[in-house]
Amino acid sequence: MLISLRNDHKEHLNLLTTQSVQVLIDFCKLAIDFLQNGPNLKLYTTAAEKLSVDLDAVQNCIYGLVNLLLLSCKYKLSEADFRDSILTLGFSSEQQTILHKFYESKKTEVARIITKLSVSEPHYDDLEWRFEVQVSSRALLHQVVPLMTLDLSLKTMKDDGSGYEKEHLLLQTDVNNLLHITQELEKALIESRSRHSRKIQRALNS
Amino acid sequence: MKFDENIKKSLNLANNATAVTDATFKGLLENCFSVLTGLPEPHNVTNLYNSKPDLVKELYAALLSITAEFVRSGQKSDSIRDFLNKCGYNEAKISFYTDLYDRNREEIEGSLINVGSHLPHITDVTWKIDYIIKSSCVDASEGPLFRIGLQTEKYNSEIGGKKVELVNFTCDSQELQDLVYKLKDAVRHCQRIGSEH
Amino acid sequence: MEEIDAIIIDSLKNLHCDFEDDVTSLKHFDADMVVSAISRCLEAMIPDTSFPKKLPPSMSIKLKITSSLAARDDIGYQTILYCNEAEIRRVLMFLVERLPREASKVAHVEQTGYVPTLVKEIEQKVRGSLQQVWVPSCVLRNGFRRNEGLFFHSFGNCRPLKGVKLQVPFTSRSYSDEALKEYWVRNVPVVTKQCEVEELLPSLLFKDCLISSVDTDLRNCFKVASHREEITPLKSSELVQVKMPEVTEESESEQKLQALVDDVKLKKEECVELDKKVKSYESQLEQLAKSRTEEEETLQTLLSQVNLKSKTLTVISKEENLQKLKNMIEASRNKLVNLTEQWKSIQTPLLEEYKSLQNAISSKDLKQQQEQDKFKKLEETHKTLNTDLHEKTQLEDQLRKKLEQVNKTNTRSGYTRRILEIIGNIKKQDEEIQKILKDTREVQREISSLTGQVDRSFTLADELIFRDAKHDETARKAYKLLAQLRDDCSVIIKAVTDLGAVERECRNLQEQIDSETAKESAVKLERVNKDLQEMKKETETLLKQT
Repeated sequence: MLISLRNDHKEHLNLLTTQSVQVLIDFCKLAIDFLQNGPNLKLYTTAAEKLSVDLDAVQNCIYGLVNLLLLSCKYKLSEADFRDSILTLGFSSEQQTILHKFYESKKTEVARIITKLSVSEPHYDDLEWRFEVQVSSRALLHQVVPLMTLDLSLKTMKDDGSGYEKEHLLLQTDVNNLLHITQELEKALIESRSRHSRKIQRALNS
Repeated sequence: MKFDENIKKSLNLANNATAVTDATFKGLLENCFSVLTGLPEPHNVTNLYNSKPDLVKELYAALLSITAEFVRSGQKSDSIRDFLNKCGYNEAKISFYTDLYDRNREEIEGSLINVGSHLPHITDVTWKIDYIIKSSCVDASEGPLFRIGLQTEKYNSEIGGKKVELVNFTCDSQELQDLVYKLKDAVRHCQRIGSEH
Repeated sequence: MEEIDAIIIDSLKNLHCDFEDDVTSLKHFDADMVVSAISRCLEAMIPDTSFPKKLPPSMSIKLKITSSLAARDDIGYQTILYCNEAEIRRVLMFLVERLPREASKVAHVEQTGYVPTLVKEIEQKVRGSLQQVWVPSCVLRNGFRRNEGLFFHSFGNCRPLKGVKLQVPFTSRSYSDEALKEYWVRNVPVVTKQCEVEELLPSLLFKDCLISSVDTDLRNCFKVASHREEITPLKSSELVQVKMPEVTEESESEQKLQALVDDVKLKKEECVELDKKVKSYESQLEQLAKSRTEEEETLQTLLSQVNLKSKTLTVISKEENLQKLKNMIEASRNKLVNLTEQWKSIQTPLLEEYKSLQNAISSKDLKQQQEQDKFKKLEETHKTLNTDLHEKTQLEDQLRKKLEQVNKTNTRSGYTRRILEIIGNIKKQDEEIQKILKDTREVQREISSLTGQVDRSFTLADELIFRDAKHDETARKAYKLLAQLRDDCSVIIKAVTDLGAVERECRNLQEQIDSETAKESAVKLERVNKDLQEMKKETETLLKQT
């Protein structure tokens, strides 16, 4: 599929179509630097002086490149699709190659981050268990109550995507219920591998 | 099993045949075991008072106390027989008591185990499989995702009873595989314990 | 063979193979029975597995099942489908030998100590929980179910230990107060009505669970009290006075409170110091008063002494009086001596009596002590013996139950009896074999002696006739005839031995024929052909369907 950019986005990138290959490479490097370290006005000013354009134009250019990268990752563009998409912006074939290299170099990293960003509910992280038997209590001196104490650890992605927040839940259950929940969850797992589920998966992927 | 001398004196009141008839004694015992197992009293105690309400109240309290203590310390009916014998009870009373005791002991043990604090107890699980077709961030399908809810129960003092709560979380295939693997490990451990001779 | 078959069938029946009662030999086994027997054996050996017990009608599935069963035994499907008695016996013997032994379980003696019984109970509980069907917790009353023991499935109803103080009449104490009696008779409710149903048990059992840790007011009170006590040791009445405003003002500013606390602290210190001073002055005063009274006393005694001395001085001043006094003193001294002697004569027997009595008492005490010790020991032994008896009776019950089980199955004694029978049979057979061997040996010896006799008689005849043959023509003829006779005889002997060999061969061949006929190859071939045709038919129908 092709992506179509907003008009102001197109305008921002328009500056680059007229520049040499070397300048484009430098801009790509600046965009990568932006992704890693945030904006660097000093570099942008020198670039603006060299090209004798406004600082704003340079900044917009950088933002435009980063946005292009994000959009491409969001739609998981293939090489041909990516090239066709930027062809409409007026980039020459050499420039397309450079931009594609830029896209390829950051694609996996960006894709990973944006998928994680979308899901912010708690995920299963780890489970530890301990088998215990309650043999006596103040209210009943002799008893046998087998229990399974569980330490369920859940992780939730932080808002800025920088890492996980972990949460420990202490739970317990008895042997009979343990067997039941194990069987239920195994059923879920088997169901997800059934032919029916795989068919749905294939239908969704195509 | 050690009791206060006072409680023995209170138990002795049952031997006062005028104030406590056999029917009264039986009624009190039936009430006693019924209450301790958490059921309503089958007889209205006021109907058992006869002429001496204070005696009956005292005897009732003493019977409840010793029964609770017998079950707590896990007494067998023959040692109870000895104890009641020392309190001067006749054979009919003793066998009536031990009979009820043997029948209700397990249920009262259950009531006693229900005294204490526990972690939230997992009693059930719900699951569903989701496939993400599209989201605001990514235009690609993803899945299967398992939405899992562990149903837990815990005593809540505000309600005065059990409160059911769901612990919800999500797993992808790999994570669920890991969870199931660990749970199965625990189940296997239990099976090994259960199969040892 | 019959014994082996009986043992195999018996052990298979123990594994719940439902054979007809008239099946006594492996000859009667058909393919279905063989499949069920092998499946049961494999299930017993490998826990948590299940194998098909019956063969389906379809030929191809039959083949599949039998091959899968056979694969575990290193045998072919043909052994199961086209069963041969001897091979099946071999396979089943192999399986039965490897069955897990139950006998080892029976031999294990249970112990009755605390830990072993606990461990056993835990095992039972876990096993029970694993075997029970799952039920949702909402259908259970109090979170557990009873099924030969308690099984907890939820602790949602498990409440923290908390009780109330129960008001119970105590009639054995004499009523000092009529009002109290009136209260007990009329007003106080029955204990079950004094608290909630769930709180009754803890209230009955424990008298100390009245203070709940959740009670915030109480906790604050404790906090304030302990805080105050740290600053200055206050008397309890003052504490109450200080505490009340403190509690109410707690919400006010911290500074004010601090200032007040400091102020109070200073004042307290002053007060304490003043108190101390007052005390020291008081003690000084007391001491002074004491010394004054002492002085006065000494003065008094001194005065009386002076009086006495002045009087005696006046008396002694006369000579007569002095003499009289001296006489009086002498007389009284003599009297005193007399009295002491009298006293001694009375005292000694009394003292002796006292001593002897004391001795008697002490010895009695000692005896009593010993008796008491003995009694205590006896009581203890009685107790231990009682518990012992209890445990032993329990053990006895268990063992009796086991014994019943063992008697029911009765495998062990049956086996030993059968083994003994087999051994007897084998001994008998062995004797017969020995007899036959002896017979053969005798016959052989006879044969060899006969051949020797024949040889010897021939050589003797040969020599005799040869000597005469030199002179006599008839003798020469006879000699020739003798040579011929010898040749003929040797031919006859050879023929007889040949005949024996042929007979033996004949018997061997007959045996081979018998074994071949036992295999019933022709019938089996027919069955295989039939099955093959059926398979072909099935394949055709399947092909048509597709």
